[in-house]
Amino acid sequence: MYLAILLILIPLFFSLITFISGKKWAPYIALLSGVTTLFYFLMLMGAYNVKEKYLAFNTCIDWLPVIRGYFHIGLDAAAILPLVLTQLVICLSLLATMVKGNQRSSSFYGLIGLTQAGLNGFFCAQNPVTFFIFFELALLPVYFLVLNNGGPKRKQAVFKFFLYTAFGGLLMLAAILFLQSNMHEELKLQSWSEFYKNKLNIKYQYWLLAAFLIAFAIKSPIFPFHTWQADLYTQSDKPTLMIIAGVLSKMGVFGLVRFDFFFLEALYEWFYYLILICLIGVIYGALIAWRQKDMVRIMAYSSLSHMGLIAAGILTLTNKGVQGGLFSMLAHGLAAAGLFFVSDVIIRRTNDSSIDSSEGIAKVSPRFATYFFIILLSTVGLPLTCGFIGEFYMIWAVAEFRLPLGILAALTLIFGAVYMLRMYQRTMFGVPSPNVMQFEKLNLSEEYVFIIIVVLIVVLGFFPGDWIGLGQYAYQYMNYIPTSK
Amino acid sequence: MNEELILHLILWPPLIGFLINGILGTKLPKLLVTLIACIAPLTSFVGTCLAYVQLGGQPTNIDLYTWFIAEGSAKVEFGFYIDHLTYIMLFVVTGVGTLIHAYSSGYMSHDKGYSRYFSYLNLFLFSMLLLVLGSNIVVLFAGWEGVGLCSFLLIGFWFENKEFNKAAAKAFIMNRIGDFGFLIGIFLCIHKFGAVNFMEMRETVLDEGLINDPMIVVLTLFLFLGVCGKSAQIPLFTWLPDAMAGPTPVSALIHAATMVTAGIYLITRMHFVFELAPITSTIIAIVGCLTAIVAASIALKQNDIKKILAYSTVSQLGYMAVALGVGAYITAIFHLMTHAFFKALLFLGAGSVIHGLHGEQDISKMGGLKSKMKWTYAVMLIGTLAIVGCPPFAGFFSKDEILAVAFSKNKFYFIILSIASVFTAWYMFRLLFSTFHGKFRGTEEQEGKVHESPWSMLIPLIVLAVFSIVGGFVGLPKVTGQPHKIYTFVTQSITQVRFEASHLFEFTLWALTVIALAVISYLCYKRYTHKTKEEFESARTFVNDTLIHKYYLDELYVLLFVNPLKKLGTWLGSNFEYHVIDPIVKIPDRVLVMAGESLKNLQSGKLSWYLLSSVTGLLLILLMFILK
Repeated sequence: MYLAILLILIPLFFSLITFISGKKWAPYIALLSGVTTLFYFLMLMGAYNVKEKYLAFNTCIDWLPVIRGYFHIGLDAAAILPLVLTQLVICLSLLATMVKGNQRSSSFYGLIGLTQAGLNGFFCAQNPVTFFIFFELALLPVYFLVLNNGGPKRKQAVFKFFLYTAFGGLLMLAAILFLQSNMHEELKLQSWSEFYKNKLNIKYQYWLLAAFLIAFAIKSPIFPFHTWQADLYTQSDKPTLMIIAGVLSKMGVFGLVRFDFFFLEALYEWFYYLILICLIGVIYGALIAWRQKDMVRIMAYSSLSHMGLIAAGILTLTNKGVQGGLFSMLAHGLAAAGLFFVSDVIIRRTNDSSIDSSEGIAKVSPRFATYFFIILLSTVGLPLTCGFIGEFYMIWAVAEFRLPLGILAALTLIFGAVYMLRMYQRTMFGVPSPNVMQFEKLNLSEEYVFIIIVVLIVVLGFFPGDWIGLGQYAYQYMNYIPTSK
Repeated sequence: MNEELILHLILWPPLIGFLINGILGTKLPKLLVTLIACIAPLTSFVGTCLAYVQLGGQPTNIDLYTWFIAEGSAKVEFGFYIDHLTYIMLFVVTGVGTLIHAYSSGYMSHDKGYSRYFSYLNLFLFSMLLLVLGSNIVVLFAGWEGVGLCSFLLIGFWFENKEFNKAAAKAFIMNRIGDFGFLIGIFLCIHKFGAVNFMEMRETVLDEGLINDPMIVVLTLFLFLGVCGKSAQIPLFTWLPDAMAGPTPVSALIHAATMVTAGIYLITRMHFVFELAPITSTIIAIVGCLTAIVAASIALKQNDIKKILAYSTVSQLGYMAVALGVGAYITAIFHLMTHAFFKALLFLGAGSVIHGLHGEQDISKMGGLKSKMKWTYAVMLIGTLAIVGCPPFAGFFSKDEILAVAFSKNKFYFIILSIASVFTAWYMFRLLFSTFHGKFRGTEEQEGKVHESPWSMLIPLIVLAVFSIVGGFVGLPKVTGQPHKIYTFVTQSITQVRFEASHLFEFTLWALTVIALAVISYLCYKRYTHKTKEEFESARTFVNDTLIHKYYLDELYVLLFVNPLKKLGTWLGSNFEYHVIDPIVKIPDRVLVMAGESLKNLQSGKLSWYLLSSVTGLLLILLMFILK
């Protein structure tokens, strides 16, 4: 039974069971759910043949006839990489809680399942209405996840996050309603392609584009809509954060991929400035990250910097930009999940996330230091890791768009190394400080998390070809050029 | 044996060695670690020999698989290319690499991180092979970044020391500044040639006359920025002397013989592009000249044995850059090769001294080691004679060739390089005499412990010494009437006219060299043999201070770039973020709050107010209908 909608139903079903199951069984049921969904997804992916049928395994229900709102879920080339990421990071996050003393209540596991269902729905959504529904649905469980576990100031942080994203969501809702009602009346508006083929009048495009851009920029976040980020990241529970930074942050840039091509005419007038802003964000995030003392904040600003680069690449509206953008989402998602898990491991053992208070961890736990280092290499874009491929494509796309902008983008090569090495050397190197002397060895499930991430980073670095090639089909599909011309 | 198999034989053993030692190293017995680590480069070396025999010197392109493709642009193969230039690099990298692995097994024998050391060293070798074998610029870049990474890991090998960590980070970041230029250069290459493969680029160049195309000039300048980073040219050379924090064999392998010459290799590999941009070539030559003289002058005043050699390396790389700049690519490669021999020899010799003195690196605390370390003295003497260009040692032929080429192209280059040569002779003889001659200046306790190094260290030294003596004979100048073997060899992959100096010039140059060397060595002998420890403290004059502080370049960079950026980062993170960005993006929030505040009065709970508003509303609606 090949149906993309099962990617939502499976985790949903399991999550309901998890909620009512006891604390003892919940983690295992959740992991079973994660793994089942992962394998089901892999099966779908194996059966998916992009050359034969771009949009496959879809389910379409006439849902809100008033606004031509169809509920449409299916698998397409653009969604595959983010979906791979989602299933993986969910499993990794679950594994991260499988450590003694790190278990959560059964509601945590249930909420994770709901998040997974929401995210899968989001990436599989085949029209704006469905997209919007899941854009909001995926967030709800995350609010509760952060509210239930995390740092002492989490309530303020979540509230800020909620305000921001609710505002963005509101803008998007208005924009989508407007879009639905102003598209040509003959169209059924079942799937994306109708929007790509029939562009809206340019006078509406500006407003709609602005609304979508703000919504997505808040979501990712992208400079200057990022001020909720560092607070939320420092306060949230780290296994949850792996999902937030790894997958949720990709929702915004994925939205860019989906909606950019609706508004080509308007974008062609703006994209120079938009890319410039994104790139300023890249440097801005890097400079701030360089001066932070808290490792979670460093990682948060690093994430801001990287998301800016991804957005810049996608906004070039070129084949390379879209291909690289989709691949970078996967690459950065893996690395971000890895980095925040690193912070989780350190904080659990030393009760401190400052880079000045613990040093010399490499001496006590060399394996951990090695895993951290490989994840770091992917973050700084060293060749033969997947981070390089992503970064290479993004800078390439921008450099081909405008050389000076490309040079600005390439600065990330230098700054990325500066702040990551600073963080790494301060914590891992040096003579072990007293609070590090008792640093426990990694246990089995922690090892698994790291090994999975590290192996994928290297394998995708050596063999990115087929994965990155998927983006090209997505690009062709979206950048629809009428054959009559 | 087919070509692909040979490639596998050359490329992968170091990676396998890295994986085995890196993952299992701490659990394996030391002997096995050593064996795995040393067999890996040896296999690569044997593979290289096999390749030469089997392929008959035929340039061979081997694509393993497609790494990635961007539609409409270049297809990036994970591909490799072996031609004569590659062979020279391969022989140097795997040959010297094998010797240094063997040497390391003695040098590092007491270190706790023994297996970690060897796994890094093997990884370095793999990256270096990727670099020299890559058939396209992206694979080359992968190797390029890889060697930078290993350099970082090995400089900071003793990571408990914070100074060493700083040096490591500095090396990595300075290299990254170069790599930033390199990356832009790659994109420009793709844009200009529509290909990443060197051979395809070459075809495009041959097809179209692109000379002085502004794009090509920009492109080559960006690539040269990369070269400045990796091959330690002005303005990015300051990381290399600091890199001496790493174990000495690492300095010999990475920071003298192989990695730092990657930039020279890159320009030679892409010489057909650089030839199209005479402006860039001139800049390269000038930068090379400056680097040669600046580094040599700094070396005059250093007291750390490894620092002297490090500046010497920078200076010699400057020589190679000049050769590249004047279009004598093969000469640069020739000097690269001889330099790899004698500089590796000198570093390993210095390592032997340091090992014998249990970690002492200050030449003002050495002296009189000749009698206690006979072998080390002998090889260091050979190395010194080779680097100062004493006939008939290896350095003589290659350096002589660079000087001759420089003379024929531009007298200015020649004069600067000649002065740099005098400096070279001075600091090398100073090093030699103050280390091995005269009396021991260290403590008595130190003196008692001085010992000659084990054979595992001496044998590689002796092999390198032999190469430093005879290595130059493969490139005899025209005067001798003998074939210039390097030239005939490399010219099969690089099209370059052979340079010929007049007989008169050659003989004058030789005579001058010999006389100058005799004078300088005599002066140095007089001056440094019997110096006391205190006399090594240079007088505090302006010139001395400037030289000791390396022209204050580090301080300048901190002042100009590091501190302002740090301040900016701090300001952005603490002030701008909270007092500018946050309030601005909160405006919608404020508006909502204000709207709520004002609108909440509507719901006051007073019946009269509600009544009034509903009546007013009704009236308004009626009014609208009437007016319509």
